[in-house]
Amino acid sequence: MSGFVEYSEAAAWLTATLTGISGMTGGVQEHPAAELSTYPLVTFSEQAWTDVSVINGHRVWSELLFLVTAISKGESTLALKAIATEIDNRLHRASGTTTDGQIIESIRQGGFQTSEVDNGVSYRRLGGFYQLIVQPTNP
Amino acid sequence: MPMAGVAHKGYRPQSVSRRTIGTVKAGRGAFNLFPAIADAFPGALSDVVTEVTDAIAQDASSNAPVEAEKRYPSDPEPGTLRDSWDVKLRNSKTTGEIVTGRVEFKAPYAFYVEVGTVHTRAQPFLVPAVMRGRALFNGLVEKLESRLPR
Repeated sequence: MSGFVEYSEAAAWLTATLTGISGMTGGVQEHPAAELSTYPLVTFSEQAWTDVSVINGHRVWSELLFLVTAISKGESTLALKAIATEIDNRLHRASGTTTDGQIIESIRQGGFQTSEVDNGVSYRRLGGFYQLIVQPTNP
Repeated sequence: MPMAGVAHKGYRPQSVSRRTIGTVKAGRGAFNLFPAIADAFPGALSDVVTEVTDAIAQDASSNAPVEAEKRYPSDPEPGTLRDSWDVKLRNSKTTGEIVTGRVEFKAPYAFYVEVGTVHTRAQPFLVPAVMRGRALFNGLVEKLESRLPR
């Protein structure tokens, strides 16, 4: 195996896996959300990226920690419950394949919720940290 | 009847031998390091916890984003986040040894730098340090024997 970028594989898998959640009008985006987005939407951002197993200089797999959240305007986190639950349904204890690699496992490491005000507009975020174990098809 | 010294389901020994194990006869004398190892073990683990906690704090601090200059007068001084780290070590109530370490960044906006806001990107500096610290911790525990009496 020559070059392999785990982030690209993980991002593609997250986008494909999370697309089509009912009620999510703004789609799936890499964080941060675009300025002119429609809400609610889902974003993901990479929080950590570690090569866990290296044998003779070859990466066997990598762990990537992603923060995946549903975001809505307004002051109710309850409005995000259905989307955040579906995120967890699709990502926790999940696995899959990508163009050049595979997601051996996706596991939630912890929950996440925040509220914030940006330019006078209130937002809520609800979701969790998901750890993905990513491996090239031919390591 | 169960054999002596073999655990069987439902079998409860009426008395437990407290003879020292690990005594090795050497020449005319004998030595037994198990008590010394047992005594040193909590302290050695405590040292590992302290070292890893400090390493995580230094790592995260060195990777915390620092603005080149203030954009607005109300902005914090550049480097405020980097310098706001703090370490809290907690001791065991029974042994007095340090058993947990906690790294905090006290700048009030630290959390939003780490995870981003709705319209700003995440700039994680603490979680990656914790991930590297986990590997460091595993490595130090694997070599824990070198910190114990021989």
